[in-house]
Amino acid sequence: MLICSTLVVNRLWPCPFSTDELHLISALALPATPAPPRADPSNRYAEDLAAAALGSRLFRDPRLSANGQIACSTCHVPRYAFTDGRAVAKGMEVGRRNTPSVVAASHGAWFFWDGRRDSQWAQALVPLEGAAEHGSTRTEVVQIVLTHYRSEFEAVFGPVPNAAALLGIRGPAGPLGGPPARLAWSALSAPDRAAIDALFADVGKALAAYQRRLTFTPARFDRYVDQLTRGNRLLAARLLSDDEVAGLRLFVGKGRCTLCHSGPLLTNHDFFALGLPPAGVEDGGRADGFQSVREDSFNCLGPHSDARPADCGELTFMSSDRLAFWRAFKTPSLRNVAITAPYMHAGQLQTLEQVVRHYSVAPRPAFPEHSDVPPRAFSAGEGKALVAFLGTLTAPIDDPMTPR
Amino acid sequence: MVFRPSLRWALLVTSLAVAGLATYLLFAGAPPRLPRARIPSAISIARTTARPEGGHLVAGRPRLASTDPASLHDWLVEVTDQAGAPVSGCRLTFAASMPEHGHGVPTEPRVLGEEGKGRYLVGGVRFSMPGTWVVTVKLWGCGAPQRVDFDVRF
Repeated sequence: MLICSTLVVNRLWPCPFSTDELHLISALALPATPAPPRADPSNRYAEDLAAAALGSRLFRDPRLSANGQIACSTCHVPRYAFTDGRAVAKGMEVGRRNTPSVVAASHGAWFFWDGRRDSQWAQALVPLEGAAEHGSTRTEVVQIVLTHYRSEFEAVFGPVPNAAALLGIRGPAGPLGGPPARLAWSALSAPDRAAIDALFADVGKALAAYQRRLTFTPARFDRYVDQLTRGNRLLAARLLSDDEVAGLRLFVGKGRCTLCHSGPLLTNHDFFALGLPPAGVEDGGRADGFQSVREDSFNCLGPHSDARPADCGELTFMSSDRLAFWRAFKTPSLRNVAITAPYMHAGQLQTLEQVVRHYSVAPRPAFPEHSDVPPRAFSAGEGKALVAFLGTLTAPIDDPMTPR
Repeated sequence: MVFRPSLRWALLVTSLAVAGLATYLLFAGAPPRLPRARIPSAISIARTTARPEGGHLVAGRPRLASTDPASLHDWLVEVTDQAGAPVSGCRLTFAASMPEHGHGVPTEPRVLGEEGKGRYLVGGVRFSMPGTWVVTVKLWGCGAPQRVDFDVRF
């Protein structure tokens, strides 16, 4: 009798949402079979399992840095959902941007806060040579890979016939290093430089193959939506508090948060200006990203890309309107947002309460800056509810390529 | 206390009835499962500027009916004269903005060529969020210069 009564109550329990709200909400839940990452025709190894296994090891190898202590995983820390808990990243030096998560980044067309790279493999190469990050050079990276991972690397990317010659190059050498490294790079023969560039691109492709396999697992929010859409309203009601439900209603309703934080990843992967307070140094965001990606020799149209030019539509048709994208930054996913403080592109806001307050006011900055977001005018109670809802999006990351 | 058989039967029948109702509510009464993936967006397009005296008729739409407005896609702009004949050799620009938010599209759409007489193919269109967009087509080189606005909603 008790079971029967419970089943009846489960069905008859009031649903807190209208059908329209339910549609908006269900579009945010992770599907039972998650959508695969965006196809990357520029990386023919993107789905290669052996490349991903190699990428996982490279991701955690601190030898790929100037001081032997900085790995990708130094800043992309698994327990912080592949961020680092800092306002701005700290590798060899303190950087100027907040570390974005790499999880599910492969679903978007652009990488970094400013979209200055157009593939995950081209993105992965930048920190390796960044003075504030790994501080290494492409020659050293290739040498470390050929020294410690040669068999795995050749199994994926084919034999490296001139490996001995490349390993014989002395000292740091790369076009983006300090003056000695740049001098050493220009002293190399053109074929050696081309060989190093090609192998360096392959290192990026392995790192991307690994990162594409990192996925979000269902959070309490997803289980809630699952029960709700099955009609199990009592079971659903046990999963989210009244505050969290109120926050969800604001998220899809008054807040209109889903205009940008849309789909199961809660992002549209595009660039918007929010009128945020500047964080020290000038940062044009997407406005500066255009030129960088256009000039990048590792972009979709470059010699190391596996794509046909017709596959590079995003780059070919990319906007170059600097004024429209001045201080615009990429919409991040909100999955795991409660454990990825501080927030915004330079970690300007310490807490989710501050983030909600920012959207509530949405300051209109002076020209040439602008804000794409009208003020939402949340009350204190609404702000609290929104923050409560954002806490329901936390769940472990599935990392199938890394042994526990 | 000993129950008389008639009361037992009554209890049994009641239990079965409740169980039956519960089963019905659990399986038959459950609302249909809502779509879990992205809700397919219907796109509606309405021209909002009147055709000037003697001007051409300009129509625009995504090239494929199945287009997801949020992914990179092509548009076809068709230009016909007052008699309904296609107009070749026009020059045109294509721009889109979202008045409510004051921003444009993240791409730079441009004419790729004339695909059939009077049918202009525009590449690189992508709308970054759902809502109301204004698409502006400017036309010249084939009669008096003309501007046509479309309301695009999805």
